[in-house]
Amino acid sequence: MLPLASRPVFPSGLKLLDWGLRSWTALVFVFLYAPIVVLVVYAFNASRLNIVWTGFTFRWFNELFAHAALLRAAKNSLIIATLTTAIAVVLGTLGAWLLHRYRFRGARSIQTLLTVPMVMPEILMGISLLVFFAATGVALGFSTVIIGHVTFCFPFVLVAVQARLQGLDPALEEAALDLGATPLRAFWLVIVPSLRPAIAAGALMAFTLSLDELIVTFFTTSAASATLPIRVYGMAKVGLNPMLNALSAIFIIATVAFVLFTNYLRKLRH
Amino acid sequence: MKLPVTQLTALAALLCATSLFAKEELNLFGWSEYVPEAVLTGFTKETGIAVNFETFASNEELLAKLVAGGGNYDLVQPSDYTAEVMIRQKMLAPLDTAQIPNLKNLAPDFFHRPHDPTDKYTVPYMAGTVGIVVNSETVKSPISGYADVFDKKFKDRIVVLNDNREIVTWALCTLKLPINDINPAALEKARPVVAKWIELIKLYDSDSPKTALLNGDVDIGIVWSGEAAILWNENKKFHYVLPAEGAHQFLDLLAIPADAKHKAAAHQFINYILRPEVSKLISEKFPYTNPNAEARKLLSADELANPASYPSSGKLESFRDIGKAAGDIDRLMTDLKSSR
Repeated sequence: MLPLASRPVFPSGLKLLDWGLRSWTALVFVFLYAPIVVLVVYAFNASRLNIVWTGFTFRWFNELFAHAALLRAAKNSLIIATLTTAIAVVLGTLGAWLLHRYRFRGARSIQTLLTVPMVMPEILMGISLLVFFAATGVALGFSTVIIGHVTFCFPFVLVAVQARLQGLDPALEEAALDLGATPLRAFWLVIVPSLRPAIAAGALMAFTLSLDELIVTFFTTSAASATLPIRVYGMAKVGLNPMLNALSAIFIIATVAFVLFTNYLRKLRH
Repeated sequence: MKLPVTQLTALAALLCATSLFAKEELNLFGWSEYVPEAVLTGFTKETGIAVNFETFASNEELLAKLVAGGGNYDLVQPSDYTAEVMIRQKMLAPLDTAQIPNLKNLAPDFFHRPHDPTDKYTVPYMAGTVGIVVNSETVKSPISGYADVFDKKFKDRIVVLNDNREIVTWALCTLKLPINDINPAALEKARPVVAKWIELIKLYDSDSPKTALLNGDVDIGIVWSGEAAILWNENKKFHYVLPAEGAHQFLDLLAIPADAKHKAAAHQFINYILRPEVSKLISEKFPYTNPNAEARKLLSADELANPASYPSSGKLESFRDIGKAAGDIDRLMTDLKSSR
C-alpha cells in the first residue's frame, strides 16, 4: 500500500465527478449500515413486534441473559468457530506450503479436489457427512460439527496462503537454509511470518463461515452442540422477538470494539 | 500465529467430559422454542432425567436428518402429515398407552385422526388452523370464505402464506374438490382460480405475515392461526374467520422413533406434558389450540376468547401425505407466479 503522502491527489478539475463519487460512496455506506443501525435500535423497543416504536426498554437484554438455551447456543457457536479456525489455519497453511514448495504425483488433482468443498452445495455436504458418521458409528456432537466446518473452511485459508506464496521470493528460504537453518526452522521463522497477513485473512474467513453456517451444522450436530444459527432459524415457527435484536446488538458492539482495539494496538506499536 | 494450547486442551477435555457423565437422559428433537424452557426444567427437576433438546425448523429437515440416520432421538415432534410418512416407513415405535395415563385429558376430537387412525404412534401436542384474518377497521364488508378474500376490491391488500400447497388447497376447497386427492384433472380445474388470485395478492409471507397486517401494508390475509392470535392480542380489530369452504387444521405431535434408546423416559415425558398444569404453560407461551381439555379449563377467559386459538367450529380438514403430487403443485404455482 502506498503511504498517504505519495498517493495521487484527486484532480481538482473533476469537481462534479468527485461529488458524484462521494455521494455514491455515502449511499453505499448507508445501504450497508442503515439496516444494522435499525436492528440495534429495535433491540431497545418496548413492543414485542419489530414494527412500531413504543418506548425504551432493557427488557430484551434481561430476557436474553435469562434464556439459557440461546446463550448456550451462542457459546457453542464461538467454541466451534474458534476450534474450526485453529484447525483450518494449520491444515490450510501446511497444505498451501506443500502444494507450493514440492512437486509430487497427484498434486494437480489434490489442487482440484480442494475446491470441491468450497463450491459443493451445503445440503449435499451435510447429508453425506451425516450418512458417513451414521455408517461409521461416530456419535454426533462437537467433534462432528467441527469436522464438517473444517472441511469447507480450510480450503479458504489454503487459497489465501497460496496466493501469498506465489509472490514470495524463493531466495528468502534459500538464504535461511544457507545460513544453517533446518527446513523446519526456515519454514517457522522465515516463511510463516511473511505469510501472516494471508493467514489472518484466511482465519477471519474461516471464522465467519463457521459462525453463520446453518445446513452442514444441522446435519452433524447433537442437542449439546447446537449453534446459534440453528436455534435462531428454528424460532421463526413461534415468532421472532427482539431478544434476537439484543443478541445481534451485542455481537455488533463486540465486533466494533474488537476492531477499534486492534487499531489502537497497531497505533501504539508505531 | 500462536495458539493458547492450554486453553484449547482444557476446552477439549470439557467437551469430552460433558458427553461422559450422561446417566439418564432424553433426546428430544423438536421445533426451536416450541417447548417452553419451564417445561423442560420442570421435567428434569421432577424425574432427574436430563433433556437434550435439539431443534429443527421444518418437517422436511426433521425427516431428512432421521432418514440419513442422524441422531439418537427418543422423542420427535412432527406435524401430522409427516408423522403419516414416518408411520408408513416404520420409523416410529408403537406407544405403550399404559405408561401414559394422562391421555384421558385430551379432548375426544383429537383421537382417531387420519394420519394415525388407531392412535398407536402419536400424541397431539398442539393444533392450529389456517384461516382468514381481517382488519375490521378497513374492511367493512362481511368476510366468510376464500371467495370473499380474493375479491377485486382487495387487490394489493392481501397477504397469504408463502406455501404452494396451502394456496392450491384453498382453490380446491372453493371448487368443492377433495384436498388430498391431487391429480392432474383437479389441478387443471384449480389453475384458473389460482391464476386470478395471484393477480390480487400483494405479499407472500409464511414466517411473519402479521407484520404486514400490523403496519397497515395489507388489510386482509390468510395466515396461520398462531399469527392471527398474536394479532388479536395486539389489537382486537384483527378478527379471525375460519373459511366457510373448509379450513386446513394442522396437528403437531409427539412420537417415539423406532430405534429410540430411552423409550421409558420418552413415555414419561409425554405423560408429563399431558398434565393440565404443564400443558397450560405451553398454551400461555403459544396461542395455538390446546388439544388438552383439562388444560383448557385452567386458561384465562381472555385466552379462551381468542378466536384464533379457539375458533367457533367450522369444516376442518387434515393434510395427508400426497407424495410426488407435491412436485406437481410446485410446478403449477411456479408457472402461475412467473407468468404474472
